[in-house]
Formats: sequence, C-alpha cells, structure tokens
Amino acid sequence: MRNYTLALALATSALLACQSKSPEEEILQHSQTVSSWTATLRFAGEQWIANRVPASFVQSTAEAAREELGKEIQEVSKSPVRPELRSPLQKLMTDARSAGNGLRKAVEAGDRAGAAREVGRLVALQGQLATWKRGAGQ
Amino acid sequence: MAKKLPKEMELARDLLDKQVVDREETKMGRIDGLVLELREGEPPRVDHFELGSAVLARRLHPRIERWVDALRRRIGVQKTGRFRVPWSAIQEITSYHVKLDLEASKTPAFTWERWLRDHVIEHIPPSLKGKAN
Amino acid sequence: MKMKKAATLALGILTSVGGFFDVGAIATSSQAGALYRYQLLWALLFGTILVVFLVEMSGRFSAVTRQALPDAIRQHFGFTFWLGPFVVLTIIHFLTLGAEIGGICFALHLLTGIRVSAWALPVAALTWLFLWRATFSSIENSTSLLGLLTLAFVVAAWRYHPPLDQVLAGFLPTLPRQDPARYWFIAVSLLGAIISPYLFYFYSSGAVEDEWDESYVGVNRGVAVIGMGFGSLISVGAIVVAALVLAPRGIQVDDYHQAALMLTQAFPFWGFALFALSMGIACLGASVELALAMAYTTAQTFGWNWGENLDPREDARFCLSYTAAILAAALLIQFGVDPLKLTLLSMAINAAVLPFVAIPFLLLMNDRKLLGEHRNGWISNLVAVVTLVAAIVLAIVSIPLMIAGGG
Repeated sequence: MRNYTLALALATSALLACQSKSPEEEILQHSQTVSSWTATLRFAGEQWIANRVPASFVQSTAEAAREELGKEIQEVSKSPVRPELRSPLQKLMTDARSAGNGLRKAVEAGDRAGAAREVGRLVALQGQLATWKRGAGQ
Repeated sequence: MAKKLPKEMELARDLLDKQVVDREETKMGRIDGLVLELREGEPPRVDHFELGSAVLARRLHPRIERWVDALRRRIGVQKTGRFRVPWSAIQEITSYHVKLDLEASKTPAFTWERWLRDHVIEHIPPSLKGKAN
Repeated sequence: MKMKKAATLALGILTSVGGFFDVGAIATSSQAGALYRYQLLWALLFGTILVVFLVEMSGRFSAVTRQALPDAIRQHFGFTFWLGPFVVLTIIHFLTLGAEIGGICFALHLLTGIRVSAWALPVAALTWLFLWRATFSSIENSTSLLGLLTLAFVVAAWRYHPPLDQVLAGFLPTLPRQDPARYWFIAVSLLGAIISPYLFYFYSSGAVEDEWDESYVGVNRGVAVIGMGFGSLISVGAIVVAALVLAPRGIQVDDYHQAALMLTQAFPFWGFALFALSMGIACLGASVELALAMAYTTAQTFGWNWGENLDPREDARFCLSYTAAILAAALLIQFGVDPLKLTLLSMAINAAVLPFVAIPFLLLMNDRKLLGEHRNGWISNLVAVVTLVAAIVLAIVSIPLMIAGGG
C-alpha cells in the first residue's frame, strides 16, 4: 500500500514537472481554446443559415461559448505575459464573445442576414487569431 | 427427502459464502458464517451456519457489527441480524448452491424482501412480467 | 436451438452499443479525432482487442459455470476479499451511470432545446419504467435494433471520403508532435472508456439471464468478436468523422455542443437529428446496462433473488437496487453536474480501478476445478497479462494525467 502511494506520488510529480509550462505556452493554449470556440460559433452559424441545425442549438452553443470564453478571458487577464502580447488576445477574446452574443440574438430573431454578418465577423476574428499566434510563436 | 451431499468438503471453499436457495430454488442469501461445535477430545463439527447482516459485519470487525446492529434496530424492519440454519435443514450441496428444505418467505432471510413487496411494490402498477410471459 | 443461438448475437450488440459505444466513447473518439485526426486509432484497436478477449472470457465463464461473475467471486474469494472491489465497482457504476444519463439528457436537449438538467428526472423515470416492464430479451432486442442507428457514424465517415492511407497509418502507434500530455491523456481516456469493467461484469450476468450453457462456448466467441467489433467500428467512424469535420476547422471537443456538429454535413437534412438520436440510444443502452450491472452485482453479492425476467414481486431487493441507482445517478445531472466533465471523471476512475476489479476475474479464468478444459489457454492468459499491465499503467497514470493534461 505504501509503495503504491509512493509510486503514485512520484508519477504525479514527474508528470506535473514535465507539464510546467512557460507563460507563453500557457497563453498559446488559451488561444487554442478561443480559436476552437470561435470556429464552433462560425460553424454553428453557417449550419443554421443552411437550415441544418435548429435555432435552439445555436442559442445553447452560444451560451456555452459565452461561458467558456468568459473563463478564458479571466485566465488570460492573470497571465504574466508581456502586455504587447496579452492585450491583443484579450481584445480578440472579447470580440469573439460579443460576436457569439450577436449571433445568438440574430438567430433568436430569425435574422439570416444578421447571422451571416456575425459569421463574417467570426471569420475575420479567426484570421486575426491566426496572425496573433504566428506572432506569439516567435 | 433424500439428501444429496458430497462425501468430503472444504469448509471455506465449498460452504462459506455459497449461495443458499430454498425448496423452490429461490435465492435467499449466502452462507455468511459457519458455527462449529467444539467437543472435548474430538474434532469440532459444523453445528449450524448463519445468514445475516450482523454475521457479515462481524467478519469485518466487531465494531462494524455493533454499528450495523444499531442501524438495523433503528430501521426496525428486521428483528434479527443473525439467521441460524441447522445442518439438518440442508437438502443438497452442489458446486454453486446449498439447497435447504425450507420455504424462503417463511424465514428471516426474506424479511426485507417481504417488507418491500408489501409496502412498496404493491403500490406500483404491475410489471406483468414473470411466469405469465 | 439454432434460432436462439443466432438471437444471442443480440446480447453481443446490446453489450456493444451500450457498453462499448457509450457516452465515454463518443466523448473520447470525437476529442481524439478533432485533436489528433487518425493518430489515436491504434489506441482504439488495442482497447478493442483487449475487450474482445475479456468479454469472451466473461461469456465462457458464465456459460460453463452457469454463474455470473459477482456471484462466483464472492463464493470463491470470500466476502472480505470481495468487499473492496464491490464497493469500488459500485462507485464507478454510479458515476458512469450519471454520465450516461447525462448523455441521454443532452441528446434530448439537442432535439428539444430544453435544458439538460430538466431532463434528468424524466429520463430516470423512463429508464426505470423500461427496466420495470421489460424482460431481459426484449431489452436486448430493442436496444440492439435501435443501436443499429449508430451506424450513421460509419456511413458519414464513408461519405466524407477519408484518405485511406492516413487512416490505416493511424492504426500503428505513433508519438505526438506536440503537447504529449494531452495526447496521452486522450489515449488513456480512450482505453478507459473502452475497457470498462461494467462491460464484462454485465455480460456474464446477461449470459446467465439468457440461460447459456457449455454448448454456447463457441457461439460466445463469435458474439464477443462481432459484438465488440461492431462497437469498435462505430468508434472508428466517430474518430474519422471528427478528423474530417472538426479538425480542419480547428474545433476541439471541450463541450458536447461541438461534437453535435459532426454529422450535419454528411446528412444535410438529418445529420443533426441523427447525432442526437445515436447519442441518445447509445447512452440509453449504457444506462440500462449500468443500472442492471449495479443491481446484479449487489443482489449477487448478498445472495438475493435476481433476474430481469422475474416479476418484481419476486425480487424486490434487486428491483430496489436498480431503482436507487438510477435515481441517485440522475440527481447528479439534476443538480447541474456537467455531463462531459462527469464523463471524463468517470473514465479516469474506471481506468484507475481496472486492476482491482479485473484481477479476481482473471484468476478465476484459470481455475481448473471450475472451468475444466475451458479454462484459459496461453493466448487468453497472455492477453490477460497484457491487460493487467496496461490496467496498472493506466491506473497509475490516469489521475495525474487528468490533473496535468486534461482538456
């Protein structure tokens, strides 16, 4: 029993040690999650416009996105990374969250044109996120 | 009734923890404990075996037995935590069960089963399963 | 007799759709495909091989001894020894049942827009009613038939025209190019989702319900391969679809909403509904299996009367067991526990406890007195050893990995 506990403790510490990420790596991971949710909102929006998913789905996806993006925004605001790197990402994250809200409202109102606009915003944000990542990777 | 018993048995392996069934092969519990009679100058013999929460709890620790017993008394459905089965009640011992010359619903082993049937299941719409199907 | 043996395939497919392809498989397969495309197919293959052998052993055991596993383990190892694994099994059954009920609730949420937690008690009531009214064979047959719907994943994968050379390459183990902790976490989760103890514990009780005897040993082999193979095929489909739909868009599966988008392009009109129905049916099959597995394990441990074919008046304690299990697990979802997080937690714990609950079983498979000529041969024992080693590695690694690398 004692040996098992010791092995478990060693394994945990070893894994956690390997895991200690630099703040740069951490913020890159957050940006990954943000891109993922941005892409999700875009895909959901596109599918709704093409009549392949119900409005309720886009609404609850936008809800989930808002929650998760909110968490990411909080985490990133705590990051010790230099502000020239952090601030642009924070702006992109809040933009993504507001695009998600916009999409939700458009879908609620049955507004296809409005939804298409928000999808366009999300596409643009994806591009900006990709640019940010390339810059951060250096 | 003719009894079918093997000639030799290992207590722990062939009796303890074995499934107990009644005349109709209804499952009524497991052999939770064996009680040996100690005799002067002679080898001990199996006097009876026991089923019950108290017996099981005691195998873990006497304190656990006290705790389980207190709980049983508090709940008040089962009057005893220890159901004694005399060796003479055994009709047959196979590799997977011990058959008793008893009717399960007339024994303390079925107290909870009866209580649940009378107080809960009776009040739920029937299932229409079982032998009719 | 031949008809009955052919119909036993139903047990294999039920165990498969409920046991193999369940909420855990959906979560891990879609995550694996979205993040690593075809790279983790080897983990799926490895898990499938192990599970086919474990299920075959379980079926063989029950066919020859006419006893289910919990019954046999208490009988041969004693109450004190069995108590630990029993408590552990009950806990993982409970958590996994919660995750599966969460899966059904999420599927209904997709179809209706009604909140996940609002569905918890209605789903519990319906699952309970199903178990209350149906016999074992009708449960087997209906969930197997409905389970065929999950083939939607395979059809979708086919329609997306996956690059076959890359897919096949994925069946060989490779190392990740970045973020190894996450890769291994998903590999471990995939294995933990596939090699779930409830699968082979349920299967053995199912074999007793279906009154298998020694003559079923041959059929059992076929059922194990075809049944588990079916579930594995569906999971391959899910990984491929995620690789083709989610990965190129950079969508990770941190939430079931993201997975729900997987079939919308392959089936333009029905895709969304098909995903929801597949998920709902798979999780319903799993919920039924888990609730029954909990009831079987408890009833057999204490020697109570049990059986889905019996009228509840004859096995009240057995019925109370599955009722309590369903209610308690549903309350987890009712009180807002996130279904995906619960799934990942239950899988990590499944992986962590696998050695404890598999060892007594594997020991019995070698018992000459019990199984005679049907005891494990060297191939089965080799797989058993590999399973144990894998299980111990998974056990040591799963919880730390979940803390360190979890999505």
